Amino acid sequence: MTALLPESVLGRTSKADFMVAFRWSAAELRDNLTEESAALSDWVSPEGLLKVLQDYANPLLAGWPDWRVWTLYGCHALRQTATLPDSAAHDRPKHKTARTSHHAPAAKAPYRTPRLEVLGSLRTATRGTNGMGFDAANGMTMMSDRRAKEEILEIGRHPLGLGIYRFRYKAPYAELYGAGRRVGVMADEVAEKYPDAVCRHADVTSGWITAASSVRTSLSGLSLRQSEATPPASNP
Amino acid sequence: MGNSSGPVACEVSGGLDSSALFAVAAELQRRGEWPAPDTHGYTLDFRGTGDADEMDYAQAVARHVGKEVTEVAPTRQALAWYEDWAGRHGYPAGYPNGVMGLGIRQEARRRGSNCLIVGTGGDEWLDGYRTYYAEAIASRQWRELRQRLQLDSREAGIPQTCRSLFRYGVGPLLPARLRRAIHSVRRGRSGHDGWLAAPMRQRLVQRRAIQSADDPIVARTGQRSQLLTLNGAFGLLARESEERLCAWAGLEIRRPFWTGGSSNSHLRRPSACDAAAPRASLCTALP
Repeated sequence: MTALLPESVLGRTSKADFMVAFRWSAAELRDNLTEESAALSDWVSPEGLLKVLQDYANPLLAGWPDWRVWTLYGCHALRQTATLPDSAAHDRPKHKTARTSHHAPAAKAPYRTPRLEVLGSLRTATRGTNGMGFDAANGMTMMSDRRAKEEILEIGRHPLGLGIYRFRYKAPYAELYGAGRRVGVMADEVAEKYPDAVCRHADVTSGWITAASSVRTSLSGLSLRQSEATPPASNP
Repeated sequence: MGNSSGPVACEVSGGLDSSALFAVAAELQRRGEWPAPDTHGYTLDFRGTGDADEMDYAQAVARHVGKEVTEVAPTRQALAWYEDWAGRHGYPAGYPNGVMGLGIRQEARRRGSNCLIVGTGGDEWLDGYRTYYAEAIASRQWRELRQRLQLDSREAGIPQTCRSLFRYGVGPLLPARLRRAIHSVRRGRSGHDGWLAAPMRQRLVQRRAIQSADDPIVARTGQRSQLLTLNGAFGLLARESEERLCAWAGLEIRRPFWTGGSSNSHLRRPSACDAAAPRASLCTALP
């Protein structure tokens, strides 16, 4: 190691600070969240929002306020999406400031059906998006039973012979595993082809099954990218 | 980790972790033991932006290793892009300090790479945990404890070391219920959750109660922090966002510090260690 790296790096005690990136859109973000304060009232108190936005405007307070503001913004953007039907999500009105300052209104592109492309890897994402079952923690699993899901749509096939589905968790599971659209496998299909890769929950409803992280890890080499086109407004 | 049909892209921030990975990859390539046609280094060009500017270090690594490190401007996306991302993917794009690396991913893809090695996880696993105080107390290694305190006092000063001793030495050994009560009081005093609306605060209390009830049984105190590192919601969100961005650009992300083997070896370590120990071990373990 000593020979592999220069002394200046080996002996380095400083640490880079990238908070500057959090302030690139500061004014726009403050305007956005201020305008949306009513919609955010179930998450943050009006005084709390005001305070955190004031702190975010203060260059001497870089740190926590930045994380809070961006977390709030990310969650809000996601909730707007989650509460709209899929077709409307792409057409939802964007924030006025954001649109006018960065995106000139453009002609809508013709609709193309989203398609599956093999690009990189989504090891973490394909095991689910709930913050459980990280693949370094061997043996942890995710609820993959078809009965826990709704709005199931097959969007592709994996070379392992499994379908790749887009779905949402039903209400009680959305709370546990996350609301909004998810991408993953169906445990019954996994069980059929790779019975060792699933386990059954005796303590839930009889026979509910989860797919083990090993199956999801084996899905590496897969990633999803939807077409950049906007779906037609006439979609249901 | 280096298997690829195309050149393996490496993020070289100029920090120790990513630089070490790049240097090892380059060294293996020099020896003809690298299972890919080439290794490409990339760094973000933050020149002129104070603490974010690591260009001198990245360039020093490039000179030392004898390979070019491509400088890429940080990606700065408008808010509308974040909204579009959430709409299209049903998932947040992440934070600007992650999105800023999108240009590196796109450039690496353009130059024929299909995977990217990053040094994330180094901070989490190699920076050490001050729970070595608690572990020394629990195992009655008084001499070890004294040495640690002396070392830390020299570095951080006596008042800070005393605070650390109570926080990381005595605190973790308290009964779970007492520990939770202290955390609760500290949160209340700091006003950490004060900005949230009442329903959200209540929900947080419930979630924390569930988490506390799952207090893991651990072989040594430090493993509790490590399990939080591994399974903490924020870390998982960050890693998943990072992975999605990379896949979106057409690359597979590879994180040597987050592999099962790496995480398990840290969890199985017989005792916690300070920040210097992993560096020392890297010095002997690496070629």
